[in-house]
Amino acid sequence: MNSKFSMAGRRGATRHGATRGLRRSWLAACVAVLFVVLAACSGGSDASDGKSDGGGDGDLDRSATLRWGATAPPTTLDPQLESNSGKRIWLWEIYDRLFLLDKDGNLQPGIAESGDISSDGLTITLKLRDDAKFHDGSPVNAAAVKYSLERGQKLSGSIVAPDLELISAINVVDDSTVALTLTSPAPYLLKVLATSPGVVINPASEGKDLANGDEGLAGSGPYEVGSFEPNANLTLKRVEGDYWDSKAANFATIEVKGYPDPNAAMNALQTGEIDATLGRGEPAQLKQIASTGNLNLYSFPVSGTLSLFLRNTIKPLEDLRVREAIARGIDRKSLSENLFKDVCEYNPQAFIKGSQSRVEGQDPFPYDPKAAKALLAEAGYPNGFELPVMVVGGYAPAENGVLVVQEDLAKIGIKVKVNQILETDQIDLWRSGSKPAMFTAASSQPDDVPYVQRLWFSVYGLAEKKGGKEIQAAIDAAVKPGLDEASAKKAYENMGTVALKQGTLIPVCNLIASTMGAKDVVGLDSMPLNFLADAAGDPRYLGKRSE
Amino acid sequence: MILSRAAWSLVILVVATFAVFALLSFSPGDAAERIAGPEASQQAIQQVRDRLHLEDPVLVQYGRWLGDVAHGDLGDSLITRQPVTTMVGNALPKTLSLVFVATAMAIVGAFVAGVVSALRPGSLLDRLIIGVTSLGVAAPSFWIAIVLVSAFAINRSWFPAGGYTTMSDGFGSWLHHLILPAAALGTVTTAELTRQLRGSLQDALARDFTLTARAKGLSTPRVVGKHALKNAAIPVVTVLGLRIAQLLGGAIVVERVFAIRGLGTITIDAVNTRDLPVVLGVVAIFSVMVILTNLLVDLSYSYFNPKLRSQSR
Repeated sequence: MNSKFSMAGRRGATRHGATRGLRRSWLAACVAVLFVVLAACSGGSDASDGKSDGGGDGDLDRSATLRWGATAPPTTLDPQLESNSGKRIWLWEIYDRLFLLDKDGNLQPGIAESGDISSDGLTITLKLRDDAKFHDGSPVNAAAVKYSLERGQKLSGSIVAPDLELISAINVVDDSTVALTLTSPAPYLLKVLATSPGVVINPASEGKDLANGDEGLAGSGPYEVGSFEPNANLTLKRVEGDYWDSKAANFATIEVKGYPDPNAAMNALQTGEIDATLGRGEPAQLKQIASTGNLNLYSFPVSGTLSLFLRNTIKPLEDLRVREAIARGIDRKSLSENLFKDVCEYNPQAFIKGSQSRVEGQDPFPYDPKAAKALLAEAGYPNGFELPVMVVGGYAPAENGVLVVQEDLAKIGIKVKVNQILETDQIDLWRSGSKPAMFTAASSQPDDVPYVQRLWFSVYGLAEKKGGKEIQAAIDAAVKPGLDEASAKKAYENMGTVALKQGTLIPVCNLIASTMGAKDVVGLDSMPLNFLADAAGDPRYLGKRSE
Repeated sequence: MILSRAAWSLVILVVATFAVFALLSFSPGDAAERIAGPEASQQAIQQVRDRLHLEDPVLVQYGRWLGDVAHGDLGDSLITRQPVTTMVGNALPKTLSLVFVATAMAIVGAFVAGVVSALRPGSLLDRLIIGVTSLGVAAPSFWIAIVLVSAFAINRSWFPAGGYTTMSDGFGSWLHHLILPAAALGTVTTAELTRQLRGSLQDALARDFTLTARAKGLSTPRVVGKHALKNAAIPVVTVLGLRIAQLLGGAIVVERVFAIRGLGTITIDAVNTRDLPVVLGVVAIFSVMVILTNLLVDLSYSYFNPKLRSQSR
């Protein structure tokens, strides 16, 4: 049965402001009801929320097999240990999450039908659906949610632990109600729980190693594991019986086939060995492949922004005037529109269109080479200096883009020395604190607050050692309980502006992700790729048209 | 002799694995950062390091690994947590199949082209074969792979563009999936063997014993097949032995292009993620295969040259 739901409160609106179907019910004095209320009784999400163009189930061949070409198939089947966000999406077919995100980044019910935030912002009360079952038949209840979140916090090597560390207590109120006590207000946590931190695991699996499969026990998702070879192949078989989300599980079998070389995946797509994959390669080449191979190609910008990262603790970058000069010395608009046409969409802010933090038309440091030179002179570097910039070798947008950056900065006297590094070493080298600059794309997040936190603090540390107080204050203001929608938007915008004015992140453009597939595969146009971390789309509503 | 070779083989194994161990240990980053994920805190990364004893001295870590190997345990992958023997066991048949088919194609191709060329020196066909083999030696295997996929998988659909099926799924399907990757992998070997066979066969055909055989009235096929080829084979087998080691290395690239998860692919993954037990396991297996190949090549000499048999007695 289809269901419709409305979203209440400011967080529900999030990135797209007046999202359709929104209904605010802000109770100013006591309880701040934040988010989703399921209006209809049960079933999945409304088709208008961006499910497949195959829409009605009647169109779909539910006995079909989806063969997906993955450049990164899962390494482990434990959803709290898989560190690669692109790999995690397949585990979401085995394990349900507390919430889902639609293609516009809006929160949708998952195992939790609603999440209410208390007036002080320190308690989130989750109301769970009562029709979800684990693969062994046991109910998905509050105890299971408590077990899952605590497991995520404590499991050795848990990749979701940093996201869950602000939950100080998890209380089972009744079988279908869980109360999360937070150490500080974090309304964005609901969206975070729509990704891997929100997976629900059967407590009956305690003590079992889930890395190589759950033996039909631990998950409640629409699929269970058929076969699995880490980093190579994963076969998922649909669990028979009613599944709470009637729009999901449109394939009897899903085969995730590993193609370490993206070109091999494109070849396999052209020869019909796979049905769909993420598009990799030059846009013109993808378009040509799509037209000659009779394939569908969908492209859209993702929220991770290709940017120049500057370390404000290393001379001469510790001087804001120097960082500003660098930002003003790069013609980012020209770079995006000429070099990156169809590859990366110009964005002088770190926030994608529709994001709450984005201020349309604002560029804190517009291109102005004369002003840049003057700033350098004022800072004591009239003749410029040498700037080593790390770039991941083989990562075309960064490798090509940095050459333009090099050329632009040479005009104001800064000699960019490009250092190629391995992708796997990038974060480690940056975290070492000794590298002054790198040109790369930051991974996206389902909400701007964790995005800013990761960029300026926990992961990239752009303001960890210097200038962090101002940003932290702006973050605190953005997550302050009781804000109405307009105030929240303003606070988010302020957070974004304050962070960008540090000049430690010089955003250039939003990379454009693509999905490609056979004509009979539906839903590729509506995978929520753009707002999930690292453009990892949720394949839940894909389907195959009946012949 | 065999005992002494076995002892040297052990030394080579230890040196090779230690060299790889040391190289990876001294390169930046470690597996803990990959396991904990890009967004992990330093504390979480440190926990993983402690759990896996990644900060023990290199010699201690290596000694621990060597001790486990002595008990037949190659350890578990730091990343996938699978036993390395399972991972290698899954990958080895794919790489061996690929190398086997590539070698078989190279031997057959080189035999035909080499003999034809040697029997008609200076002819148009000979010059054509020399030209083609010169190109074959120069062409990188990844380029050949891309051309083959484009021509025979995408444009003509004669062969799959990638993947692997086991022999238990059918010999035909197994071979069908291996033809293109094996052709890409074996092109250089085919070219080198052809040139080697052409040269050594021409030498053999010019020697007294073949002239005598001809004078006795033996047919050309008998002269070539029974007398000349056997003598011409020794340098060819030597080159083949060296090429098999290179085929194992070349498989790394070809497996990637054809999406075959063999030893090459897991090696690349393991090196990128600093998964030391897997890298060491693969290096050990590669070393054993190269050592065995060399041993077989040496033993084959005595078959082709009876003088060596009598000397060893």
